[in-house]
Amino acid sequence: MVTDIEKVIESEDLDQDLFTIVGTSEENIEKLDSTPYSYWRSVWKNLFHNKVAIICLVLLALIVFFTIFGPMIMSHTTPGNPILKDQIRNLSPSSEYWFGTNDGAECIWTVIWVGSRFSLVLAAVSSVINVIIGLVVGGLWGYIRKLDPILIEITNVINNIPSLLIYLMLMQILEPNFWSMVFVMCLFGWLGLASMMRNQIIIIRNREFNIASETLGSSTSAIIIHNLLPNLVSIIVQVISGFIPSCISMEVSLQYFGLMDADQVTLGKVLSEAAGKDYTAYPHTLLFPALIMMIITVAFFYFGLALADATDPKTHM
Amino acid sequence: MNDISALIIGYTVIILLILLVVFIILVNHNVILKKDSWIRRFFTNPLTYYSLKRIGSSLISVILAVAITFVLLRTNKNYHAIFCSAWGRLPPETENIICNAYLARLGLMDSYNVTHILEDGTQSVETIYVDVPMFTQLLKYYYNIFPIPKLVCLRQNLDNVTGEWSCLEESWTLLDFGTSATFRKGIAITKIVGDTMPISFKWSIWSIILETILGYPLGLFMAKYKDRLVDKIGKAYIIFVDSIPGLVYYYMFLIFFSSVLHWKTIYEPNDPMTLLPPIITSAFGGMAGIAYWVRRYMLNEFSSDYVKFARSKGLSENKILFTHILRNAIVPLSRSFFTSIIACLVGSFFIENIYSIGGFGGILIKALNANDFMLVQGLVVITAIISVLSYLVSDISMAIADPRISFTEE
Repeated sequence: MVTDIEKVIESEDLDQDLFTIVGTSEENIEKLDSTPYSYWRSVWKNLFHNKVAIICLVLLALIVFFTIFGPMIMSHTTPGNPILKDQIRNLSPSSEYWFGTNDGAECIWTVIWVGSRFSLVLAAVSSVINVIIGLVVGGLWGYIRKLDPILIEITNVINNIPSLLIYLMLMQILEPNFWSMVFVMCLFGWLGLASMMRNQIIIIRNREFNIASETLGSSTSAIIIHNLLPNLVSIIVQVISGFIPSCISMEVSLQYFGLMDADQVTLGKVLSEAAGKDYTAYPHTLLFPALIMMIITVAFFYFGLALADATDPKTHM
Repeated sequence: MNDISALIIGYTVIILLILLVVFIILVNHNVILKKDSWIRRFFTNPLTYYSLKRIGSSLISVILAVAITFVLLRTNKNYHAIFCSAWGRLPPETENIICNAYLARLGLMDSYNVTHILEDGTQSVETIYVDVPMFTQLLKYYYNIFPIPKLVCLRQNLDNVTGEWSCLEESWTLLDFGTSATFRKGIAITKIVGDTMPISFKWSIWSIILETILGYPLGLFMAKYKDRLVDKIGKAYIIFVDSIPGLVYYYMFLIFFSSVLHWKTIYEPNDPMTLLPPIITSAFGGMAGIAYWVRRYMLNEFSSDYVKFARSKGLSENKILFTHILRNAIVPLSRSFFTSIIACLVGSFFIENIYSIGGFGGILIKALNANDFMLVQGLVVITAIISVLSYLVSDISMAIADPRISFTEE
């Protein structure tokens, strides 16, 4: 190698004093100074630069931990004896009852975590189903032009009617249990994602890079996976981040209207029961459920927004 | 005005409207009036046609909403038992007849008089009650909510002993949503709505005013000082309101007002101070929405060409903001303002209940708890109609206000 370079310098009639040969290394020849662009690495890098997102992630991890192990760490069963029950009604937070007790002599700590387990599982299951339906329908909607007028009319008609009323009416005939809730949430919940998908697909479909790969004969699956999806990830993430808080919120509303299973402990039930009792004298019975619910929804929402920002290829340097 | 003349006027107006719609459609599809004239130009105005199409799709929304509400509320319901218990203890021998007569008054049953000729030659009249099929009820309901003048019994009473019905108040109304069955038994829903809507409107219009006054400047400052402290605080506030279930922060406000400020949190019609908690609670949520949209529109306009041009001319940032951007950004924002004013009629399902305001929104939960599905149906249909109407008004007003929107299909 070194001799090669010397030969080149001689043949070009250059002054050899101008050059000092440091040496060569076979390994470094192929190396690049800058690391190559990787989509997911950029996403993580962007995400972990956002301190609030990290805090939200930690909070979410804590909440998931407590919904699973919270009742095991500290748990009290409500005594059946009415005299004993009266003694532990509306206790303030103490070392024995961390969040105090409520009017029904239940330990608020236990009730909150059992309730959030139900609410979170409900939100997660219905979000997954909504996203799957939304992606499939949205994809078809964007690609098949004949579907456009029909689906647009359906969206207009349904968007015109407040969703709370639709859910209220549906819960009138359904048995109030987990799967009926999932069904109600998934009936029209995917429409927003689907119409967003459709808009994005129509925009991307006509972009130059997509037309180029179409003319080069890429297969449809390759176009969807390599051209469309990376651009859609951020939007999908954003919609999902909205789904979970809105599912929890809808559950609370239905609970408020008394349309849920009376025996099932949910976060909404804990909240609306506390509100029905003497909350002015014992504010902690309402404050703790409300706080936990705030933390859950805000953490999910903000983390989702941060993730949506991070997954957007336009924000990558 | 007597019975027949009102009906004639009502039907004439409706037939004329239908004819007008048919005429406009025909003109727009070049079937009649092919020559260019001012009449043709007037009726082929894109705005007219767009409004017509938009009204049509709203009408379909309403028809569907009514049908869905109807079907869902009437399946799996044993209304016979629920509604009859509303009138208290009835004498056992006449209970069945009174019940059936009540259901007939609610439009759930139909009565026929059957004359029997007995063996000794005398006649006896027997009334037979038959369930009305759901589809027939639905058609009747569509007729009743169609805005034609009709005579409606606003208040009716049952004499528990004799089992006689009497109509205490009768009046001509355009809309008839039926009669409340258990919650305010025997009172027409039109009357209940007429009594409660002004209460809802009275407090929610103040909250709209408050949220507009506070929300616009907040959004403006957030856009002007983007990524500075104001923007960050504002964003945190918007995320807070967006993500948290409304009920949670309503309760937080309730605790704050009652435990910390020691305000009266139960509404009294004569005490305007008791309106303050619901107004603040409602405005807190609405303000976030307004601030979010104002900020977004402003930022969109900031990067547009005419702003760059104004900047290159050397105008001050404040002048650009207030004279150039604000005027353009206000067009799409006026849309939400109209919508929210119409939505004021409904009030809020939760806030009215929390602060015990006897408004429109607050009745829904009481009607649900009382199993009064006649009233629930009326309230849901009215809310749906109002929501559809507000979207319609805002779309059309926006189309008129914004010259950049085109209606014609490519």
